[in-house]
Amino acid sequence: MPDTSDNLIQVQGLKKWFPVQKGFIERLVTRQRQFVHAVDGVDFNIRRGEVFGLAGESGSGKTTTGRLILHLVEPTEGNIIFDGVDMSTLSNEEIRRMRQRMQVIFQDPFASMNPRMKTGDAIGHSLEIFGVAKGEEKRRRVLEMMEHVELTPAHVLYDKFPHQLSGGQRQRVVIARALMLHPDMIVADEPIAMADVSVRAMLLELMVQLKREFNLTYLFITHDLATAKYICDRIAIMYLGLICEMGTLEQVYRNPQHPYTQALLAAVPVPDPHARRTAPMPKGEIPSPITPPPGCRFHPRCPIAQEICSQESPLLQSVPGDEGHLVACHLVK
Amino acid sequence: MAQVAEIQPGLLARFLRGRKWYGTEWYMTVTGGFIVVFIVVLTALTFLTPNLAPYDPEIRTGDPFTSPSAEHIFGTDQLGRDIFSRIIYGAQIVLQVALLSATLSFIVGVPLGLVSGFLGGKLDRLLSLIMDSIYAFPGLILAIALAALLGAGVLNMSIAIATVYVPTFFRLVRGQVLSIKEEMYVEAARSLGARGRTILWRYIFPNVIPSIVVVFSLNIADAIITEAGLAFVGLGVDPSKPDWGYDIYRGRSELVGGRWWPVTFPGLAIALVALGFSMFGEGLSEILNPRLTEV
Amino acid sequence: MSEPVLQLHNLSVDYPTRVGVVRGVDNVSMTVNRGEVLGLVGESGCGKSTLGAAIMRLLRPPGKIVGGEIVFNGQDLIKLDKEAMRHLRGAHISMIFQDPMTCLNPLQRVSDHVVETIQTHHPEVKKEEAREQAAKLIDRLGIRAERIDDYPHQLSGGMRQRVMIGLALALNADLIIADEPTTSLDVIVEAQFLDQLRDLQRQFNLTIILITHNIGVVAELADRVAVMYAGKLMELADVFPLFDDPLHPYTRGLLNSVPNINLTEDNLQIMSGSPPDLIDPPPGCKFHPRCPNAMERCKTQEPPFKEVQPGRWAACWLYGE
Repeated sequence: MPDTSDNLIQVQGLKKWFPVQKGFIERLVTRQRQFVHAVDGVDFNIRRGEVFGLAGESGSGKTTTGRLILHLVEPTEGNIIFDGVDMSTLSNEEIRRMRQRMQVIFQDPFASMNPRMKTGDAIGHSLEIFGVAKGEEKRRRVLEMMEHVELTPAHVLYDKFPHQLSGGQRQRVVIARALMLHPDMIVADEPIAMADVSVRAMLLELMVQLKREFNLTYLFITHDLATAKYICDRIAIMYLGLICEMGTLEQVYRNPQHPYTQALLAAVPVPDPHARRTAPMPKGEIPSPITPPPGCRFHPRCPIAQEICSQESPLLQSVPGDEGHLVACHLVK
Repeated sequence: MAQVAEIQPGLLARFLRGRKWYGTEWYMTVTGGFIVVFIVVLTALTFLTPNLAPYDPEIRTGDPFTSPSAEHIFGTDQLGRDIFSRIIYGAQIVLQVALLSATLSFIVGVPLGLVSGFLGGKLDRLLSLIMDSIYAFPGLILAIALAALLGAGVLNMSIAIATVYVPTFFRLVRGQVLSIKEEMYVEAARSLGARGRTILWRYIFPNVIPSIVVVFSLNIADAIITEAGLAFVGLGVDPSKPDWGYDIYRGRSELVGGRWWPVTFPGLAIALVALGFSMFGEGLSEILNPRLTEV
Repeated sequence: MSEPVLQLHNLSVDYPTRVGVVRGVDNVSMTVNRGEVLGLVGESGCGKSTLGAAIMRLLRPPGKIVGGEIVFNGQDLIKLDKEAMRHLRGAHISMIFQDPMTCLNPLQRVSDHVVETIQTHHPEVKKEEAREQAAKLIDRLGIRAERIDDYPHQLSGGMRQRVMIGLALALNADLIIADEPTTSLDVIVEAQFLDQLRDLQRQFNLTIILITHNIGVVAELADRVAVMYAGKLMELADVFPLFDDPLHPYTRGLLNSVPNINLTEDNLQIMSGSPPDLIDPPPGCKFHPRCPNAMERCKTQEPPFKEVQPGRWAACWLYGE
């Protein structure tokens, strides 16, 4: 039964631990298995029709979270509920069929295209997979979509192979491919990071336009907070597998509560020499996700860390007086 | 950095044009191609017009051990048989066996490699174990053992040689599948909702083909030499029929007496044909791999 | 006014490919003065990395310099033989690369690498002395002393990048070319790196050519900025005037299309089209197909790169002959 409430996706207590590969001798000697705590207990909802941003640096777990939601990888713990249906209760075949409603745009458009498949075939492949259309009908629909994303001249580009297209064209191909079955949701993993700078604005605009036309919901995964600001409605900041702050764009950007969020926002290079950064950056680098620091994961680098921060891991709680703004920090009361 | 996309013109155009910038490959492509064409034409002619060979290779047509002359271009062997005709007729056997064995090892090795690499698990481990065991044997020794076991005849010979090369195809294909499986476009196909067999057939297999084709032609070259080796040790297809390896075996004792032609010409034939197929394979690999030039 | 360290006169670089010749750098002339940070900015394929490699004479074959001069400390680098150029590299001109993991020898400890660098150029320095210098250098870069004997894979990305700066500084190079030094770094580490580079630059009056596609990084660090497009220089100016009032339509379009996290309004302007195919570039001004101000002349004649106002250079017909 479709979910009548607002949420298209509900993520509850999601964890993903990857076992660390060890050599034969090492495995004999050290009894304990080690894990990469890629995602370590994450809760959030994505509302229908919104652009939900998942931001963080490397090791934050944002990409893994995206792949978990798409069920390209199995969760270690936790639930993912898509339109009211708990995905762990589904069989492999049912999950495969559910992919019609949830599509993905990968970071590297060239790597995510089969080098031996023509553009038109690649875009329309999902139509064939699910028996929606084939032959002439498939071609017609693909050409129509190509026009839509401005992949023109469509009938010429239809027969080209990936290495014959420009970077911007390839980007549009993967967008078109994701849209063919009119999915409910699109997970976009750094969709513009590999595009040329002058082309990025156009791609962002295209994504916004398509969202309106096709009634899409986006999960927008990125490390670039400037881009996220442009397109997202709500955003969650991740650090070492946990969400440290979450809220609407206004809330998180105008009034960041978590020291990490504050540092992250200050660190983004601004294209304006009058606005050169003066605030100091937290020391050190992101620790290993195999042995995350105890208590609050950010405490070793946090400028305002207290004793409790090294002992207890803070829970994601509401910021007082700011509905919908959540932060995981002991020092926000 | 920006990538300048390469538009691939037709296969034939590329084959003929070769590559102007890197001289060696140009010659490999075209020369190798010519050699193979030459061989194939020769074989075809042998089938169509036995008259290409000036004499019947199996009967005495001149004095024994005449050196190369106007009547017998390559001279005659110890039974007075014209060596040139023997070379031409011998090509039939050699090519038959080489092509058949390469095809057999292809038919067995490739599908097993695809399935094993894709499914993994116990099946993969079992097959890898079997294949590695076969691979561990020195090729010629294994071929000799199998040929002795199976007996003479084109088919038996081909099976013996094919068995030696199955692991080569298997390992190559399996390795390719394992690495292609991790590519982003395979994951993209999964995310589109493609089933396993679709992924294997439309995404993985087409990307494995270029390397298979190259190894196939190299395999033929190898098989030619193996077949000659088997004939040399007396396990050839049919001692009564002309056979390059066998002719070398028979003629080798004559080298001491200064009669070089019974050994040299069959030897050259083997070397040239094997080389031709090798070059063809190398040239093919240059053509088949889509290249991107980075600027 | 400080004196010039590097002067490029009409430098051109060609790359022959299977489908034609690509002009990677087209007739570039500019000066880099002592103690300044020159930002060289542009999109992928514009030729900025090629230019950096050309200055170091480290172009990957089949690329080669086909015209112009590179004058460094009075010498034309193009005319130098291999041995002389080798002496210059490291000691006088240093390079910091994008991905430190691939540029540091994975089988060599950091300390050994620095010591080797020092001793290669100063064979008279004894090993212990070199080690001491290395230790001091690493300490100055904010890497803890005990890490000095680590291998590159044991260090994090940011630390490796700092080792690269260390190598560049080890010999007090006159000129440091940094090619996309922060592209592979996380945001906060990038900020730390830029802070450190700025401090070191001020402290030692370093001359740096900062090559990047990131407009924000250029705004943070550069004193002057050169904008490249399709192998040509489009604009060159001090950083403040360039950002406040860009002269070239490409610069203007580029600056307007980059999201600025500080702005309250979303006002991204979209540049139509995409960077040109360098095998078959458009005639006249290479930017004209995308230029909102394109005139008839732009389609057939390439505008010269000249000083439009004192200290401000541009290649655009909007500014007359």
